[in-house]
Amino acid sequence: MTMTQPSNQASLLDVANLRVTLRTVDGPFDAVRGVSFCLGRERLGIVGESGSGKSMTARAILGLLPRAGRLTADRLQLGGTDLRGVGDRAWTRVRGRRISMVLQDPRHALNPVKTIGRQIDEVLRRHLGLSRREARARTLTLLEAVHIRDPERVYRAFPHAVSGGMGQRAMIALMVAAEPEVLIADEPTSALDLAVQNQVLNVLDEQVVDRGMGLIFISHDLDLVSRFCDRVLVMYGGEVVEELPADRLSAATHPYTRGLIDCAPRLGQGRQRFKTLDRAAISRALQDGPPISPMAGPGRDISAGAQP
Amino acid sequence: MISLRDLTVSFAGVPALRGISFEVARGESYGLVGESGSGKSTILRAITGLAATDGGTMLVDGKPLDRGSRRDIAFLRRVQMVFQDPYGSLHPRHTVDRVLRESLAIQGIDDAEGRIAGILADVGLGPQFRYRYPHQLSGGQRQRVAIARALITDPEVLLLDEPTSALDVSVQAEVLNLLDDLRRARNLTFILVSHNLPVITHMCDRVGVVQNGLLVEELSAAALDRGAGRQAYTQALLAAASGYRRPERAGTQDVARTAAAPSVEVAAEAQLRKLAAPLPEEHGPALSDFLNDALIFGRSLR
Repeated sequence: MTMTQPSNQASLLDVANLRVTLRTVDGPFDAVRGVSFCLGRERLGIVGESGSGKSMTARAILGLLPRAGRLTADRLQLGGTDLRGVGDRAWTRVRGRRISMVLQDPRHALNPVKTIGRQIDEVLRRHLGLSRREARARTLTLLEAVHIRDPERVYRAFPHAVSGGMGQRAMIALMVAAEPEVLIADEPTSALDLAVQNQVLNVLDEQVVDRGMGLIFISHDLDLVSRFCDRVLVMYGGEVVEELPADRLSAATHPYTRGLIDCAPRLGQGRQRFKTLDRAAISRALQDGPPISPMAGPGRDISAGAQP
Repeated sequence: MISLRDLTVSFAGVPALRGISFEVARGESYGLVGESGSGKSTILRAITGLAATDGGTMLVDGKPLDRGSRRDIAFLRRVQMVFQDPYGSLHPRHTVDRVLRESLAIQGIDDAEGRIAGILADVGLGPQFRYRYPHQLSGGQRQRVAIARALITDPEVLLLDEPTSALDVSVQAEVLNLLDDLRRARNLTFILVSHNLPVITHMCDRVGVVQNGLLVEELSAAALDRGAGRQAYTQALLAAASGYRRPERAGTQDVARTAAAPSVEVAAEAQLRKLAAPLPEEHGPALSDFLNDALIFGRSLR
């Protein structure tokens, strides 16, 4: 918990003591409890179970908390912009332009009644002020850059007509179209087959390596995060319980991190029972208050508060 | 217990299964692996009558099954299914008690009180869960209810379609251990469909590898665990299961484009495209276009 510095150069995003409190029928619930980190031009992984606060952290950074949510932070800084004071109108010049987000399921996240090409064009025209013709040319380049073999066809396609992996790459093209400084990817590959997953990861990787983007990669898959990211934050009950360089994950000491590593199925173990999390030991290690069950927290259904 | 011969299924003229044959013995745990769109779930759907078959025969305990979707109540008492999505497979306005009671009523089984209490205990849910609605349960608890619903009529065969792929890894471990314990205690026959190889090797005796509607290889789970697949496709699945590897990038980005295991990538992409294209899409309420507009154009949620 000592290293909060990015593994590389200046920080793009600086978060200090971020807290999110949700109003619930049972009273206030702290979904995020004092999360701090700096993001550089790197791949920062955030892992944890459902309800650990990782998605809520992402939504807080993007100013997309449900109405019942309240945010406080000592610092929430994107480059020179203090995100705490950004008003509704100012957000339109930040979100989608300087920081954006890729969600788990492209078929829910893309607009079903507009072609993929038109959706990306729209971003380019609105955020970068390109003409219709310029936008189209740039969109085709973007689709090619995310390794879509037939960009012309995908440009004209509606989201339902492409595969999950293709849709997710189109989604990434859409979200990086305005060349944001920071991209938050929330379980971007969890709905995809392994082979397709690798393609999508490579596309994200290129944005970091070639363009110097900062990537926050949220996942419940510790194994994947340790292979893909540079640094990993492990979240439990709204807190960061451990922070590690990704390649030193096997040296994790927190019982929660160890538990997550141990309960993942692996090849070469033969037919045996799965190890499970010892939640009592985890609460003892956290040493504050009653055991927190991440599954039971009212914060888990984050979409509920966002319904119009 | 289950015997499939030359099973073929097609959707709107597109073949989904192109002659599948395998046998599962009583008390055996049989795994089906393959990528999305390979047809592995369709096999389960054909057995339960959720997908009509074009040809081939299906025998359960020696008795042939109807090719269409007709399954009598006696069949459904013996063969039950658990689906991937614990959010979609439980009625949102029915309590756990009502879900379980309905199965008993349909099968004409009495002693509902005792059976409901018993099965809830068997799946590791306390009596406090009995009168809850699905939205008051976590994903893992919902899947336990789905398992309880399937098992309350004492079936002999349980068909499991990606039962844990919507769950956290930590919860997955608990649910898979539960399924394994129940199988031993009740001498159940399992067919477990998963895209996750290690889940299959932990849970099964034998494995069928499905590609493009064909069973390309059958091997013991122990052999698969050792990485001993004979077919190129099995090897490609094993390679993909070994985890993400950052492509070598010697100063330029071009190397990335020839990333590992291109054969399986191409196959997966082609299958996915084929399957995804003609199907109408559901648009779930979870992430509305509204939220997406906020993400892209910065529009406020208020």
